Amino acid sequence: MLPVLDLGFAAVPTAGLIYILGAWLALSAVEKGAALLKQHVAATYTLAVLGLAAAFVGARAAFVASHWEAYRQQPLAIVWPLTAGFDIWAGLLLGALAAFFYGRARGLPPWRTLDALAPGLLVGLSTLSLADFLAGPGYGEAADLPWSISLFGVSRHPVQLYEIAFALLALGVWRLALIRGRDLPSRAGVPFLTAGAVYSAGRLFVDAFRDNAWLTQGGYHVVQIISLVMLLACLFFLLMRLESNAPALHAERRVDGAEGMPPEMPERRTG
Amino acid sequence: MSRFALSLFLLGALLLGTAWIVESREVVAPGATEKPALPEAPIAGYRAPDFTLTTLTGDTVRLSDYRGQPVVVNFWATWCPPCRAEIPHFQAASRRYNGRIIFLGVDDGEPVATVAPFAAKMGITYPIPLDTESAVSRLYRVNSLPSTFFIDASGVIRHVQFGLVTEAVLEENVQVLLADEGNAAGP
Repeated sequence: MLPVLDLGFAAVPTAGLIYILGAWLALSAVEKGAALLKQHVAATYTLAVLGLAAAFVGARAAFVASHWEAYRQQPLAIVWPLTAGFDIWAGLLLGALAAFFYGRARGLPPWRTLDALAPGLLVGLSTLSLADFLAGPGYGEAADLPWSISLFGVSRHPVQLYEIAFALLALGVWRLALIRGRDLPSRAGVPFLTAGAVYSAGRLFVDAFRDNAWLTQGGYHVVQIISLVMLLACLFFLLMRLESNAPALHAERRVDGAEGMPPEMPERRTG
Repeated sequence: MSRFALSLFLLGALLLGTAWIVESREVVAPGATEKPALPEAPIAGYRAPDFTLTTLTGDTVRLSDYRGQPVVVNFWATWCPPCRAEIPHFQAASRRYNGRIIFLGVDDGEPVATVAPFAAKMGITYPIPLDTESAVSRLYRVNSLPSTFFIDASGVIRHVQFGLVTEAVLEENVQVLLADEGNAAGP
Protein backbone atom coordinates (compact mmCIF):
# COMPACT_ATOMS: atom_id res chain seq x y z
CA MET A 1 0.00 0.00 0.00
CA LEU A 2 1.15 3.49 -0.75
CA PRO A 3 -1.24 5.99 0.86
CA VAL A 4 1.21 8.87 0.60
CA LEU A 5 3.90 9.71 -1.92
CA ASP A 6 6.81 11.11 0.03
CA LEU A 7 8.52 13.59 -2.28
CA GLY A 8 10.91 14.83 0.39
CA PHE A 9 9.68 18.41 0.40
CA ALA A 10 6.01 17.36 0.48
CA ALA A 11 3.80 14.36 1.16
CA VAL A 12 1.15 13.91 -1.53
CA PRO A 13 -1.89 11.65 -0.96
CA THR A 14 -1.68 8.93 -3.63
CA ALA A 15 -5.43 8.57 -4.07
CA GLY A 16 -5.81 12.21 -5.14
CA LEU A 17 -3.11 11.83 -7.77
CA ILE A 18 -4.72 8.67 -9.13
CA TYR A 19 -8.14 10.34 -9.31
CA ILE A 20 -6.67 13.15 -11.41
CA LEU A 21 -4.81 10.68 -13.63
CA GLY A 22 -7.97 8.56 -13.87
CA ALA A 23 -10.10 11.50 -14.98
CA TRP A 24 -7.59 12.32 -17.71
CA LEU A 25 -7.34 8.68 -18.87
CA ALA A 26 -11.13 8.26 -18.81
CA LEU A 27 -11.66 11.39 -20.92
CA SER A 28 -8.99 10.22 -23.36
CA ALA A 29 -10.76 6.85 -23.60
CA VAL A 30 -14.07 8.61 -24.34
CA GLU A 31 -12.36 10.61 -27.09
CA LYS A 32 -10.91 7.45 -28.64
CA GLY A 33 -14.23 5.60 -28.26
CA ALA A 34 -16.13 8.37 -30.02
CA ALA A 35 -13.60 8.41 -32.86
CA LEU A 36 -13.81 4.62 -33.25
CA LEU A 37 -17.59 4.86 -33.38
CA LYS A 38 -17.44 7.73 -35.89
CA GLN A 39 -19.39 9.90 -33.46
CA HIS A 40 -18.99 13.63 -33.04
CA VAL A 41 -15.80 13.56 -30.97
CA ALA A 42 -15.91 17.13 -29.62
CA ALA A 43 -19.56 16.89 -28.53
CA THR A 44 -19.07 13.48 -26.88
CA TYR A 45 -15.93 14.70 -25.12
CA THR A 46 -17.71 17.83 -23.91
CA LEU A 47 -20.56 15.70 -22.61
CA ALA A 48 -18.07 13.59 -20.62
CA VAL A 49 -16.27 16.65 -19.23
CA LEU A 50 -19.57 18.27 -18.30
CA GLY A 51 -20.82 15.11 -16.62
CA LEU A 52 -17.59 14.75 -14.66
CA ALA A 53 -17.55 18.41 -13.60
CA ALA A 54 -21.24 18.33 -12.61
CA ALA A 55 -20.65 15.15 -10.60
CA PHE A 56 -17.69 16.70 -8.76
CA VAL A 57 -19.36 20.03 -8.04
CA GLY A 58 -22.70 18.37 -7.27
CA ALA A 59 -21.16 15.89 -4.83
CA ARG A 60 -19.40 18.70 -2.98
CA ALA A 61 -22.42 21.03 -3.03
CA ALA A 62 -24.74 18.31 -1.74
CA PHE A 63 -22.33 17.51 1.09
CA VAL A 64 -21.91 21.18 2.01
CA ALA A 65 -25.70 21.66 1.95
CA SER A 66 -26.21 18.71 4.28
CA HIS A 67 -23.51 20.00 6.68
CA TRP A 68 -24.28 23.68 6.25
CA GLU A 69 -23.86 24.53 9.92
CA ALA A 70 -20.22 23.45 9.74
CA TYR A 71 -19.49 25.45 6.60
CA ARG A 72 -21.51 28.58 7.42
CA GLN A 73 -18.84 29.86 9.78
CA GLN A 74 -16.07 29.24 7.27
CA PRO A 75 -17.21 29.63 3.64
CA LEU A 76 -13.68 29.22 2.27
CA ALA A 77 -13.73 25.63 3.51
CA ILE A 78 -16.34 24.89 0.84
CA VAL A 79 -13.67 25.08 -1.84
CA TRP A 80 -10.58 24.01 0.12
CA PRO A 81 -9.41 21.49 1.23
CA LEU A 82 -11.17 18.98 -0.98
CA THR A 83 -9.66 15.82 0.46
CA ALA A 84 -12.95 14.81 2.06
CA GLY A 85 -16.61 15.77 2.09
CA PHE A 86 -18.45 14.50 -0.99
CA ASP A 87 -21.93 13.06 -1.41
CA ILE A 88 -21.20 10.35 -3.99
CA TRP A 89 -24.84 9.51 -4.82
CA ALA A 90 -25.83 13.13 -5.35
CA GLY A 91 -22.74 13.56 -7.53
CA LEU A 92 -23.62 10.55 -9.68
CA LEU A 93 -27.18 11.77 -10.11
CA LEU A 94 -26.21 15.33 -11.03
CA GLY A 95 -23.44 14.15 -13.36
CA ALA A 96 -25.83 11.83 -15.18
CA LEU A 97 -28.48 14.57 -15.44
CA ALA A 98 -25.99 17.11 -16.81
CA ALA A 99 -24.74 14.62 -19.41
CA PHE A 100 -28.29 13.63 -20.35
CA PHE A 101 -29.50 17.19 -20.91
CA TYR A 102 -26.36 18.20 -22.80
CA GLY A 103 -26.71 15.13 -25.03
CA ARG A 104 -30.33 15.97 -25.73
CA ALA A 105 -29.54 19.59 -26.48
CA ARG A 106 -26.83 18.54 -28.95
CA GLY A 107 -29.01 15.82 -30.47
CA LEU A 108 -26.49 13.07 -29.73
CA PRO A 109 -27.83 9.54 -30.43
CA PRO A 110 -28.30 8.04 -26.93
CA TRP A 111 -27.18 4.46 -27.53
CA ARG A 112 -24.18 5.33 -29.65
CA THR A 113 -23.16 7.99 -27.11
CA LEU A 114 -23.32 5.38 -24.34
CA ASP A 115 -21.18 3.11 -26.52
CA ALA A 116 -18.61 5.89 -26.82
CA LEU A 117 -18.70 6.62 -23.07
CA ALA A 118 -18.29 2.97 -22.03
CA PRO A 119 -14.47 2.79 -22.26
CA GLY A 120 -14.20 6.03 -20.27
CA LEU A 121 -16.49 4.66 -17.57
CA LEU A 122 -14.51 1.41 -17.38
CA VAL A 123 -11.17 3.22 -17.23
CA GLY A 124 -12.56 5.56 -14.56
CA LEU A 125 -13.84 2.64 -12.46
CA SER A 126 -10.46 0.91 -12.83
CA THR A 127 -8.62 3.92 -11.49
CA LEU A 128 -11.02 4.10 -8.54
CA SER A 129 -10.12 0.47 -7.80
CA LEU A 130 -6.43 1.25 -8.20
CA ALA A 131 -6.69 4.21 -5.80
CA ASP A 132 -8.48 1.98 -3.32
CA PHE A 133 -5.78 -0.67 -3.75
CA LEU A 134 -2.93 1.74 -3.12
CA ALA A 135 -4.42 4.12 -0.60
CA GLY A 136 -8.00 3.25 0.18
CA PRO A 137 -9.72 1.55 3.07
CA GLY A 138 -10.73 -1.58 1.14
CA TYR A 139 -9.10 -4.97 1.56
CA GLY A 140 -9.84 -8.59 0.71
CA GLU A 141 -10.55 -11.61 2.85
CA ALA A 142 -7.63 -13.50 4.30
CA ALA A 143 -6.47 -16.09 1.75
CA ASP A 144 -3.28 -18.03 1.26
CA LEU A 145 -3.10 -18.05 -2.53
CA PRO A 146 -0.13 -17.64 -4.89
CA TRP A 147 -1.46 -14.23 -5.93
CA SER A 148 -2.43 -13.07 -2.41
CA ILE A 149 -0.98 -9.80 -1.20
CA SER A 150 0.39 -9.25 2.27
CA LEU A 151 -1.27 -6.42 4.16
CA PHE A 152 0.24 -5.73 7.55
CA GLY A 153 1.30 -9.34 7.95
CA VAL A 154 -1.90 -10.99 6.66
CA SER A 155 -2.17 -12.57 3.17
CA ARG A 156 -5.34 -11.36 1.48
CA HIS A 157 -7.32 -11.44 -1.77
CA PRO A 158 -6.30 -8.46 -3.92
CA VAL A 159 -9.98 -7.61 -4.54
CA GLN A 160 -9.27 -4.29 -6.22
CA LEU A 161 -7.01 -6.03 -8.74
CA TYR A 162 -9.84 -8.48 -9.48
CA GLU A 163 -12.08 -5.49 -10.15
CA ILE A 164 -9.51 -4.02 -12.53
CA ALA A 165 -9.21 -7.39 -14.31
CA PHE A 166 -12.97 -7.46 -14.89
CA ALA A 167 -12.91 -3.86 -16.14
CA LEU A 168 -10.22 -4.84 -18.65
CA LEU A 169 -12.24 -7.89 -19.68
CA ALA A 170 -15.30 -5.67 -20.18
CA LEU A 171 -13.17 -3.30 -22.24
CA GLY A 172 -12.15 -6.24 -24.44
CA VAL A 173 -15.77 -7.29 -24.83
CA TRP A 174 -16.70 -3.71 -25.73
CA ARG A 175 -14.01 -3.70 -28.43
CA LEU A 176 -15.22 -7.03 -29.84
CA ALA A 177 -18.82 -5.84 -29.95
CA LEU A 178 -17.64 -2.70 -31.68
CA ILE A 179 -15.73 -4.60 -34.36
CA ARG A 180 -18.85 -6.62 -35.04
CA GLY A 181 -21.38 -3.85 -35.25
CA ARG A 182 -19.74 -0.44 -35.43
CA ASP A 183 -21.47 0.55 -38.67
CA LEU A 184 -24.79 -1.12 -37.94
CA PRO A 185 -27.38 1.18 -36.33
CA SER A 186 -29.36 -1.85 -35.16
CA ARG A 187 -26.42 -2.78 -32.93
CA ALA A 188 -26.12 0.64 -31.32
CA GLY A 189 -26.00 0.19 -27.56
CA VAL A 190 -24.84 -3.43 -27.77
CA PRO A 191 -21.16 -2.65 -26.95
CA PHE A 192 -22.18 -0.56 -23.91
CA LEU A 193 -24.70 -3.11 -22.65
CA THR A 194 -22.45 -6.16 -23.11
CA ALA A 195 -19.49 -4.41 -21.45
CA GLY A 196 -21.80 -3.23 -18.65
CA ALA A 197 -23.10 -6.79 -18.16
CA VAL A 198 -19.58 -8.24 -17.99
CA TYR A 199 -18.35 -5.61 -15.52
CA SER A 200 -21.47 -5.90 -13.33
CA ALA A 201 -21.15 -9.69 -13.28
CA GLY A 202 -17.51 -9.30 -12.29
CA ARG A 203 -18.26 -6.93 -9.41
CA LEU A 204 -21.08 -9.22 -8.29
CA PHE A 205 -18.58 -12.08 -8.17
CA VAL A 206 -15.53 -10.43 -6.61
CA ASP A 207 -17.26 -8.38 -3.92
CA ALA A 208 -17.79 -11.66 -2.07
CA PHE A 209 -14.02 -11.64 -1.41
CA ARG A 210 -14.00 -8.16 0.13
CA ASP A 211 -13.47 -8.28 3.86
CA ASN A 212 -14.79 -4.86 4.81
CA ALA A 213 -17.66 -4.73 2.37
CA TRP A 214 -20.54 -2.31 2.72
CA LEU A 215 -23.34 -4.46 4.19
CA THR A 216 -27.09 -4.20 4.60
CA GLN A 217 -28.65 -4.75 8.00
CA GLY A 218 -29.07 -8.40 7.12
CA GLY A 219 -25.40 -8.85 6.19
CA TYR A 220 -25.84 -8.78 2.39
CA HIS A 221 -23.21 -7.01 0.28
CA VAL A 222 -24.68 -3.74 -1.04
CA VAL A 223 -22.29 -3.66 -4.03
CA GLN A 224 -23.42 -7.15 -5.01
CA ILE A 225 -27.07 -6.11 -4.95
CA ILE A 226 -26.33 -3.01 -7.05
CA SER A 227 -24.24 -5.12 -9.44
CA LEU A 228 -27.01 -7.69 -9.87
CA VAL A 229 -29.54 -4.93 -10.64
CA MET A 230 -27.10 -3.42 -13.17
CA LEU A 231 -26.44 -6.84 -14.73
CA LEU A 232 -30.14 -7.58 -15.12
CA ALA A 233 -30.80 -4.09 -16.50
CA CYS A 234 -28.01 -4.50 -19.09
CA LEU A 235 -29.32 -7.92 -20.15
CA PHE A 236 -32.92 -6.68 -20.24
CA PHE A 237 -32.07 -3.72 -22.45
CA LEU A 238 -29.91 -5.98 -24.62
CA LEU A 239 -32.94 -8.21 -25.07
CA MET A 240 -35.12 -5.21 -25.90
CA ARG A 241 -32.56 -3.90 -28.39
CA LEU A 242 -32.35 -7.26 -30.13
CA GLU A 243 -36.12 -7.64 -30.20
CA SER A 244 -36.87 -4.18 -31.54
CA ASN A 245 -34.13 -4.52 -34.16
CA ALA A 246 -34.82 -8.14 -35.11
CA PRO A 247 -35.82 -7.38 -38.75
CA ALA A 248 -32.77 -5.19 -39.29
CA LEU A 249 -30.51 -7.81 -37.69
CA HIS A 250 -31.88 -10.52 -39.98
CA ALA A 251 -31.27 -8.29 -42.98
CA GLU A 252 -27.73 -7.59 -41.78
CA ARG A 253 -27.07 -11.29 -41.25
CA ARG A 254 -28.24 -12.03 -44.78
CA VAL A 255 -25.98 -9.35 -46.16
CA ASP A 256 -23.12 -10.56 -43.93
CA GLY A 257 -23.59 -14.10 -45.28
CA ALA A 258 -23.91 -13.04 -48.91
CA GLU A 259 -21.28 -10.38 -49.14
CA GLY A 260 -19.05 -11.16 -46.19
CA MET A 261 -19.03 -7.43 -45.42
CA PRO A 262 -21.45 -5.33 -43.35
CA PRO A 263 -23.56 -2.81 -45.27
CA GLU A 264 -22.61 0.85 -45.15
CA MET A 265 -25.11 2.35 -42.73
CA PRO A 266 -23.26 5.08 -40.88
CA GLU A 267 -24.84 6.62 -37.81
CA ARG A 268 -26.00 10.20 -38.14
CA ARG A 269 -23.29 12.56 -37.04
CA THR A 270 -24.26 15.61 -35.12
CA GLY A 271 -22.82 18.92 -34.13
CA MET B 1 -27.29 -14.51 -29.57
CA SER B 2 -30.98 -15.24 -30.09
CA ARG B 3 -33.76 -13.71 -28.06
CA PHE B 4 -34.56 -17.05 -26.46
CA ALA B 5 -30.94 -17.63 -25.47
CA LEU B 6 -30.70 -14.14 -24.03
CA SER B 7 -33.94 -14.63 -22.07
CA LEU B 8 -32.52 -17.83 -20.61
CA PHE B 9 -29.30 -16.00 -19.83
CA LEU B 10 -31.28 -13.25 -18.08
CA LEU B 11 -33.13 -15.79 -15.97
CA GLY B 12 -29.91 -17.66 -15.23
CA ALA B 13 -28.17 -14.44 -14.18
CA LEU B 14 -31.04 -13.61 -11.84
CA LEU B 15 -30.98 -17.02 -10.19
CA LEU B 16 -27.21 -17.42 -10.02
CA GLY B 17 -26.68 -13.81 -8.94
CA THR B 18 -29.22 -14.09 -6.15
CA ALA B 19 -27.73 -17.40 -5.02
CA TRP B 20 -24.24 -15.87 -4.96
CA ILE B 21 -25.44 -12.88 -2.92
CA VAL B 22 -27.07 -15.20 -0.39
CA GLU B 23 -23.92 -17.37 -0.31
CA SER B 24 -21.74 -14.28 0.28
CA ARG B 25 -23.91 -12.98 3.09
CA GLU B 26 -21.97 -12.14 6.21
CA VAL B 27 -23.72 -13.12 9.38
CA VAL B 28 -23.01 -10.47 11.96
CA ALA B 29 -23.48 -11.35 15.60
CA PRO B 30 -26.07 -9.12 17.31
CA GLY B 31 -24.46 -5.94 18.57
CA ALA B 32 -21.10 -6.62 16.90
CA THR B 33 -19.84 -4.42 14.10
CA GLU B 34 -16.15 -5.21 14.17
CA LYS B 35 -14.56 -8.40 12.94
CA PRO B 36 -12.05 -9.94 15.30
CA ALA B 37 -9.50 -10.30 12.48
CA LEU B 38 -9.49 -6.58 11.63
CA PRO B 39 -5.80 -5.70 11.41
CA GLU B 40 -4.02 -2.75 12.94
CA ALA B 41 -2.80 -0.18 10.43
CA PRO B 42 -2.68 3.63 10.26
CA ILE B 43 -5.19 3.65 7.39
CA ALA B 44 -8.92 4.35 7.22
CA GLY B 45 -10.88 1.14 7.63
CA TYR B 46 -8.29 -0.52 9.88
CA ARG B 47 -7.95 -0.73 13.65
CA ALA B 48 -5.90 2.19 14.98
CA PRO B 49 -2.47 1.02 16.21
CA ASP B 50 -2.26 1.25 19.98
CA PHE B 51 0.28 3.48 21.69
CA THR B 52 1.23 4.67 25.14
CA LEU B 53 2.71 8.12 25.74
CA THR B 54 3.25 10.56 28.59
CA THR B 55 1.38 13.83 28.40
CA LEU B 56 2.58 17.33 29.07
CA THR B 57 1.07 17.13 32.54
CA GLY B 58 2.85 13.83 33.32
CA ASP B 59 -0.16 11.55 32.89
CA THR B 60 0.10 8.32 30.90
CA VAL B 61 -2.18 8.05 27.88
CA ARG B 62 -2.96 4.72 26.22
CA LEU B 63 -5.13 4.85 23.11
CA SER B 64 -6.88 1.53 23.77
CA ASP B 65 -8.04 2.83 27.16
CA TYR B 66 -10.44 5.09 25.27
CA ARG B 67 -12.14 2.18 23.47
CA GLY B 68 -15.87 2.82 23.54
CA GLN B 69 -15.40 6.52 22.83
CA PRO B 70 -14.50 8.24 19.53
CA VAL B 71 -10.96 9.67 19.52
CA VAL B 72 -9.39 12.37 17.35
CA VAL B 73 -5.59 12.03 17.25
CA ASN B 74 -3.87 15.11 15.87
CA PHE B 75 -0.11 14.97 15.14
CA TRP B 76 1.45 18.41 15.34
CA ALA B 77 4.52 20.43 16.30
CA THR B 78 5.07 23.98 17.52
CA TRP B 79 7.18 24.94 14.45
CA CYS B 80 4.40 23.93 12.00
CA PRO B 81 2.23 26.91 10.88
CA PRO B 82 -0.82 24.87 9.72
CA CYS B 83 -0.70 23.01 13.05
CA ARG B 84 -0.88 26.32 14.89
CA ALA B 85 -3.78 27.40 12.69
CA GLU B 86 -5.90 24.37 13.47
CA ILE B 87 -5.29 24.23 17.24
CA PRO B 88 -8.11 26.72 18.06
CA HIS B 89 -10.57 24.45 16.21
CA PHE B 90 -9.49 21.42 18.24
CA GLN B 91 -9.63 23.45 21.43
CA ALA B 92 -13.16 24.69 20.68
CA ALA B 93 -14.31 21.20 19.66
CA SER B 94 -12.81 19.59 22.76
CA ARG B 95 -14.90 21.94 24.88
CA ARG B 96 -18.01 21.52 22.74
CA TYR B 97 -17.84 17.71 22.74
CA ASN B 98 -16.42 17.37 26.24
CA GLY B 99 -16.97 13.80 27.41
CA ARG B 100 -18.32 12.60 24.08
CA ILE B 101 -15.14 12.70 21.98
CA ILE B 102 -11.53 12.47 23.15
CA PHE B 103 -9.03 14.85 21.53
CA LEU B 104 -5.34 13.98 21.70
CA GLY B 105 -2.75 16.42 20.35
CA VAL B 106 0.34 14.26 19.87
CA ASP B 107 3.37 16.52 19.67
CA ASP B 108 5.92 15.10 17.26
CA GLY B 109 9.53 15.08 18.40
CA GLU B 110 9.76 18.10 20.70
CA PRO B 111 10.80 18.37 24.36
CA VAL B 112 8.54 19.51 27.18
CA ALA B 113 10.47 22.77 27.45
CA THR B 114 9.38 23.72 23.93
CA VAL B 115 5.82 22.42 24.03
CA ALA B 116 4.72 23.57 27.50
CA PRO B 117 5.00 27.36 27.02
CA PHE B 118 3.44 27.09 23.58
CA ALA B 119 0.48 25.07 24.89
CA ALA B 120 -0.01 27.57 27.71
CA LYS B 121 0.08 30.48 25.28
CA MET B 122 -2.47 28.80 22.98
CA GLY B 123 -4.71 27.85 25.92
CA ILE B 124 -4.78 24.15 25.05
CA THR B 125 -6.68 22.14 27.64
CA TYR B 126 -6.98 18.76 25.88
CA PRO B 127 -4.24 16.16 26.54
CA ILE B 128 -0.93 16.63 24.73
CA PRO B 129 0.98 13.33 24.63
CA LEU B 130 4.66 13.90 23.88
CA ASP B 131 6.09 11.69 21.15
CA THR B 132 9.64 12.86 21.81
CA GLU B 133 11.28 10.00 19.89
CA SER B 134 8.70 10.22 17.05
CA ALA B 135 8.02 6.49 17.55
CA VAL B 136 4.24 6.91 17.37
CA SER B 137 4.57 9.19 14.34
CA ARG B 138 6.51 6.42 12.60
CA LEU B 139 3.92 3.85 13.74
CA TYR B 140 1.21 6.01 12.15
CA ARG B 141 3.37 6.71 9.09
CA VAL B 142 3.03 10.44 9.56
CA ASN B 143 4.97 11.93 6.66
CA SER B 144 3.75 15.47 7.03
CA LEU B 145 2.40 17.68 9.78
CA PRO B 146 -0.33 18.18 10.64
CA SER B 147 -1.97 14.77 10.19
CA THR B 148 -5.20 13.86 11.95
CA PHE B 149 -6.77 10.46 12.54
CA PHE B 150 -10.49 10.18 13.28
CA ILE B 151 -11.06 6.95 15.22
CA ASP B 152 -14.51 5.61 16.01
CA ALA B 153 -15.70 4.12 19.30
CA SER B 154 -14.74 0.59 18.20
CA GLY B 155 -11.15 1.70 17.55
CA VAL B 156 -11.39 1.74 13.74
CA ILE B 157 -9.90 4.66 11.83
CA ARG B 158 -12.71 6.32 9.88
CA HIS B 159 -10.77 9.09 8.18
CA VAL B 160 -7.23 10.35 7.89
CA GLN B 161 -6.70 14.02 7.12
CA PHE B 162 -3.30 14.98 5.78
CA GLY B 163 -2.75 18.71 6.14
CA LEU B 164 -4.81 21.42 7.74
CA VAL B 165 -8.09 20.51 9.42
CA THR B 166 -10.49 23.38 9.02
CA GLU B 167 -13.38 23.88 11.38
CA ALA B 168 -15.73 22.49 8.74
CA VAL B 169 -13.64 19.39 8.06
CA LEU B 170 -13.33 18.78 11.78
CA GLU B 171 -17.05 19.17 12.30
CA GLU B 172 -18.04 16.88 9.43
CA ASN B 173 -15.73 14.10 10.63
CA VAL B 174 -16.78 14.51 14.24
CA GLN B 175 -20.40 14.14 13.14
CA VAL B 176 -19.52 10.89 11.35
CA LEU B 177 -17.84 9.58 14.53
CA LEU B 178 -20.83 10.55 16.64
CA ALA B 179 -23.22 8.91 14.18
CA ASP B 180 -21.14 5.70 14.33
CA GLU B 181 -20.90 5.81 18.09
CA GLY B 182 -24.34 4.36 18.66
CA ASN B 183 -23.59 1.34 16.44
CA ALA B 184 -20.02 0.64 17.47
CA ALA B 185 -19.18 -1.96 20.04
CA GLY B 186 -16.14 -2.15 22.25
CA PRO B 187 -13.79 -5.13 22.32
